[in-house]
Order: sequence, then C-alpha cells, then structure tokens
Amino acid sequence: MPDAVLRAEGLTKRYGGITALEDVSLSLAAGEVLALLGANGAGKSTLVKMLSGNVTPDSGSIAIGGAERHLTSPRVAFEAGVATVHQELSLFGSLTVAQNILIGREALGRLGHIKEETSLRRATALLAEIGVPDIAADARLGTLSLAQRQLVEIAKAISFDPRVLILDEPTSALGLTDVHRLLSVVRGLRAKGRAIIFISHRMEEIETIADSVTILRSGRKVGAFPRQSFTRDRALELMLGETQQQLHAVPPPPPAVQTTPPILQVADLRLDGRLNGVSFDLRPGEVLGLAGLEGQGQKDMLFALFGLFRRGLRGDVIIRGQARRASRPLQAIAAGLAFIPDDRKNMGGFMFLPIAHNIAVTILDRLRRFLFLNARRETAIVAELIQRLAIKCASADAPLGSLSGGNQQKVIAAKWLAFERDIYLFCDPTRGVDAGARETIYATIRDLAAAGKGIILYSTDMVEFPILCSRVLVFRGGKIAGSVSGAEVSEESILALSFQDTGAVAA
Amino acid sequence: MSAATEAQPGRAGPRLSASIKRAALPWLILAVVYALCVIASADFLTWHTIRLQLIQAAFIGLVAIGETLAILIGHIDLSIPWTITLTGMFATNLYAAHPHEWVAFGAAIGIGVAVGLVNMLGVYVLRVNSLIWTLSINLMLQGITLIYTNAAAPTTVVPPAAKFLALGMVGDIPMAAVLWAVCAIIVIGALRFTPFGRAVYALGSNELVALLSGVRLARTYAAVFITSGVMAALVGLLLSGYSSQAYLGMGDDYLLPPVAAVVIGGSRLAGGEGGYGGSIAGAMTVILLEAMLITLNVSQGEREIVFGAILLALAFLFLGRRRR
Repeated sequence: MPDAVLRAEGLTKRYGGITALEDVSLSLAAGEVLALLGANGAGKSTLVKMLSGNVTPDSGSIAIGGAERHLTSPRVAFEAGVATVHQELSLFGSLTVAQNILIGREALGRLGHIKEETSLRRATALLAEIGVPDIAADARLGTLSLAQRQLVEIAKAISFDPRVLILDEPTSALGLTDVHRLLSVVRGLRAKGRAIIFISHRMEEIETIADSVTILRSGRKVGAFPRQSFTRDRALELMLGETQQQLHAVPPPPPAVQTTPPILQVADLRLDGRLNGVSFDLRPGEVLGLAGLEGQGQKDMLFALFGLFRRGLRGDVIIRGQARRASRPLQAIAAGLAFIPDDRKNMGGFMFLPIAHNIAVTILDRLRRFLFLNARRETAIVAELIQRLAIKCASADAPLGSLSGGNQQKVIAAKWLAFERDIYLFCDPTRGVDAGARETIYATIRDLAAAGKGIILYSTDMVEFPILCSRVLVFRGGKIAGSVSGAEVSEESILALSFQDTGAVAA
Repeated sequence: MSAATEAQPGRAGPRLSASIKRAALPWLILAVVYALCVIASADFLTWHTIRLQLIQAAFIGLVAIGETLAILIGHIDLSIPWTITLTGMFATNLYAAHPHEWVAFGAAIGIGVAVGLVNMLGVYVLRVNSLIWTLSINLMLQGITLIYTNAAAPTTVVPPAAKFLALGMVGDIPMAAVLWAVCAIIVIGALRFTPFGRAVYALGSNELVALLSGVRLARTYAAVFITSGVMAALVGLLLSGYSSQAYLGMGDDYLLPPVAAVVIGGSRLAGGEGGYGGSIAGAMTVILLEAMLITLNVSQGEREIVFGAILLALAFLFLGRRRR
C-alpha cells in the first residue's frame, strides 16, 4: 500500500525478561478504521503507547505519511500527526470545554492574556466539525456527562489536526445510546479522511465500524483481516491461542456444592452505573470466580460487599439469612467478611510497621488482656502463620516493606487467617507475585474452601479460574453476562461470554 | 553520608540499629543544647536552675503528650493554647465561687473532653484538615474566653492542689516533674503494650489499610484528641497554680513549642513513626533553648527570631535524615 498514512514495521518492546510486544507491523490508509483486538495483556496498550510517544520501541520503525519518525515524546507524536484519546481522560473538571480543548495553545493578546473569545470560537468550530454542536464551548466540564467528556476529549485530539487518531476503548464506560453517538462521530471523521485506530472489547462495535481488524495475543500479531472475512469465532480462537496446553498439573477445583444452604445471597445489587442489578448465591466450600474484561464491575462488586461504598449502593446482601449490606468495612467484617485487596501498598499493609503488627492488626480486640496486649499469644499466632504460609522473613519484627511482593501478599492474607471469617473476598491476589507465593496463595484458597468458607475470587489472570473455581460469573457492563460451573470452567468459555453480544448495535 | 547508607531498608539487623540511633538523637541534641547553656552561664550547673527549667519543661511535656499522639496518627492539635487559658480562667473562677478541689478539676476535665470531642468531630467525622480545624477551634476558644472574662473578673484564688502540683516539692524534686514522669510512663506503656498503641501506629501509617483491617478508627481518634484536650486543660490549671492566678494569654506560648518538642523528639510529622520518649528530650530542649537565649540577654524580638530559626534548623535536620 503506497498510500499508507501510518506504517509500523517490526515493533518490539521488552521489559526485563518479559516481552510486551514482538515484531508487530501494521499499516493504515487515510479514511480507514482499524480495530485492534486482544485479551487483557495482549499488548494493545503497549502498541498504543508507542504510537502516542509514551513508550519508545526497542526495535522497529514507524513511518507517518511516508517519512520515518521517532516518536520520543507525546509532543513529538502530536507534531508528527498522531493524536491519542487515552482510556483515562485527561481533562480538568473546573475548566470550561473551550479551555480544556485548547489548553496550553490559547490565542494570546498583546498583554499576554488569553483571548477567551477566540478560544470559544475555535472550540465551537471544532465541536461542530466532529458533529456535536450541542455541547456548549463555555460549559464547565464538570457539568457534562461521561459520554460528553469523551467527545470533548476527541475534539481536543482533533484540534491538533492529526492524520492518525487513536481511540483507546472510548466506549468501555458508555451506555448504548452514547455508543451510537460516538460511533457516528467516528464515521464522520473517517469520511473526512482521517485514519483511525479503534480499540474496543465489544465485538458488535467492531463489526459495525471497522474496515479491518488486527488481533494481538501475548504481544504478537496473530491475525489481520478485512471486515468482510471477519468472524467472531475466528477472532476468539486467535485471541485465546493455545494457552490451554501450558496449564501445569494442578489438582482440580472442588466440585460445586449444591445441597448446603447459601452462606451469602446477593440480590439485585446496584451502584450508580457501575453495578446494574447483580444477583448470585455463594455456598460454603465454594470458590466463586468473578471474571470478565477489566472494569466490568467485578472489582466494584467486591468493594461493595466489603462496605467501601458509603452511599449509592442498593439491593440486598444476605449473609446466613440476615440482611447485612455494609456501608463501611467494620460492618462487613462484623458480618463475617474478609477482604484481601490487590493494591498492596495503598490498601494492603503498613509498609513501615513490623510483619507481626501487620498480621495482628485484625485481632487487637481479641489479644486484649485487661488493658494490655497479650504479647505472648500474639507472638505465637504470628509465628504459626509465618510458618504455615512459608513467609520468608528475617524476623517477625522486620518491616513489611522489606519483603518481596509475594511475601507481602502472604502477610496480608495471614491477617485474615489470624482473624477467621466466613467469607473471603480475594481481589486479584496474585498480581505481581512470584510463582512460589502463587502456589501458597492457591493452596490457602483451597484450604479455606475445604474448611467450609465461602470464597469469591476476582482475578485479571484468566488462567486462575479453571485452576481454582468451582463456578465463575462473567461480568459485562456491571451485570452478570453468564456463568459457567464445574467442568465447563475454561478460558474459552469465559472469554466467549466476556465478548458476547449485549444487543446489536445498528449500523 | 554514612547515615544515608544505614537508612537503606534491609534486614532487621541494620534497621534495628538505625532505629536505636534515631531514638538516641533527640537526647544527643538535648546534651548539646545543655552544654551550650552551661557555656552561656555556669548557673545551669546548679540544681536550683535545673529545677526551674524542669518545671517549665514539664508543662510543655504534658501538653506534648497529646501533641505526640495527634502527630502519630498523622494529624496535629493547635487548639492547645486557648484550651489552657479558658480552663485557667474558668476553673479558677468556678473554684472561687465553689471552693472545692473537685469543682476545679472536674471543670478542667470537662473542658478538655469537650474540646477533644469537638476536634474529633471535625477531623474524623467531617474530615477537615486537622491544622485548619484545630487552629479554628483555638480561635473560637479565644472568643469564648474573651466573652466569658467580660462577664467575670479574673481571680487570684487558685485551688491549692493546682498550686501543689505546679510548685510543690517531693524532697528535692519538683512535683510537676514527678507528675510528668508518671504520665510519661503511662503514655509510653500505652503506645508500646496496648491495643490502643497499635491502633495509633496503624492509623498513622496508613488510614485506609487500618480501615480495611477493622481497626476502630472512631475510638482511636476520640482517645487521641480527648487526651490532648484533657492534658491541655490540666496544664491550664497547673499554670494558674504556678503564677497564683489565671490571666488572658497564659497559654500563648503553647501553640508551636509542643509541636517543636515532638518534631525534635524524632516523630514523623506525617504520622506512624516515633514515640513519646523522644518528645521528653524535645520538651527539655525547647525550654533550655529559650532559657539560654534569655541568659544571653537577647531581646524578646531577637529571641523569637533566633528561636524560630533554630527550630527550623532542627526540623530540617530530622526531615532531611528521613527523606533518604
């Protein structure tokens, strides 16, 4: 293709021993929408970061309009004609739409003051150009809806007059009507000859908007087709690959228990826009997985159960037959819940305090003898847990921060083994954890299940569901899109449910 | 240079010796300041002078108990000065009208608890920055005191118990120092050996983690700010005993010196690290610095400038060490 606006050849990026992207090439013509598809961790964001100048490739080249460019910073990328709308919006709520769009590039008067009138006129023209004249350029951004902010972000990108526009999951947080609107804006931009890279997890959007589809898996390009020959089954197959075979020999998950009464019942749980009516049961001895693509409400579900949302939560949480919906963690703990968070540094442990204090923090009341802390009992409990979880440390008095990530995670789990609860909420417990610690955490989860605890596991690593879970709920848009249990729990079945239709998007 | 290498996080061994070094530093600073005092005037070698300084240090040290707790949970209490003055004025007047010891002490404890609860309400329940909140409460207490003193004339009648606690002697040792020592032992013990102490360090280290671990935050906040209020009120009573009267502005010197004592004592201003042991040395250092400048005949204005500069320098010494 001689008329390619963007041509990338052999892009490769390694972080330490991990290959984030390997030998990926793609080309994009003017007026073309290229959809980028891949599971979590497939390399999409690395590729986007390279094209937007946030990451420099180890090898490979990028040519824009036929000339090779080294995109060493976001600024260079803008100047080369590539504008990116990232997943996390970069707008300021207290500024107006016009101020946000033209920030840092305002027309200045003779005294160095900003000519707000000129800014307003330019912003209004830009909003009209992308087809959203109803957004007022002088409106304060904070008053706009999420969908409108997304469109403002696109207007900001267009203000650079880019030849290539990258939209990184622009629809992930939007409802159906807003998705329609956004897609029609994208179509308008395509008609004006801009080349667009569009990233989405929603197959139906890709089918309606894409001219070509490129699929990534584990950092490699595993497929590319024009829209005519694209099918969902083929795409799923390519995204998944042969990951199945690398599963090591692990004991199968415990069978799903059906006879015992549920320990936890969740009925129609809602949280403004993030959870849209979730209902399920959890039985003692069951390991229930919460799967789905990132940000579909699984994490919110765990946070909601543990009382981290003070208001806005509706629906019922019934624990052992009693209504126990929590609006603060203390209530959740009293109701029998334990929560092992994924963000170790900010939510998990006290990095500068000794390991012993980190573990005993949950049982301060139980260790009280008269006014004092029963030090002998504390030492015994801590020593037992350090041994049981094989926590590698010089002594129980060493600060938590001196341990490796995996051992830190074990300490955080240990504090809820010291204070035994009925229901354990594990939030991505093996993120950034080495293989040894991983096995320990798996074993801990199995032991808890065997002891009759109820376990809910959210993980970003899909491999964990078939290893650990007797049943998996797949989330999409804050709802349960489907569930699989027993032998059906596999990466394919979960991935298929993750990408399934919510309702066709009209072309 | 060597301090920087030792501060590297590592195994328990070096870390432990580093923490011992940190605990020793406030006492080293105290020793240096005392040596300077002795150079400035040989009077500082006499027990008489030391005794006088010890009483002053006890007053700072007692309010520094509350300040240490507040700073350990990552906050600050700046409502101490006018809690002192209000208590001094109100409790002595009440005592003049109803001459029973328990009336004066009951009123003081009542004021202390009330101020503590109001501070806890603002900082924990309403989540206002503690610097802003407690400073505003300090202003409001000043207003309350002024309104109150418009209606009631100050009195020179003070409870004998307050006088005894401030000026009395146990053998050759001032009663105030004995009281201070007893309170210090209780606080250090509480921080080390009780669930409350654990909760204080947990809260100061990372409030979110403490919340997620089921630490009783409301209780801890209340205990910290009420302790601070009550200690300030108690010192208000002692100060009236010390000068045999309560007067407006008697608490004015207690806004920043307690904070300085805690910082010199090696507690981290952001919370979670430190303890009361260092604050004891800090309180003595603050008082000796002041006394030394007076001895050197430095005028009031210059004294304040020098005092402020020295405090800043000390703060830098500590903050710099910890930034790594």
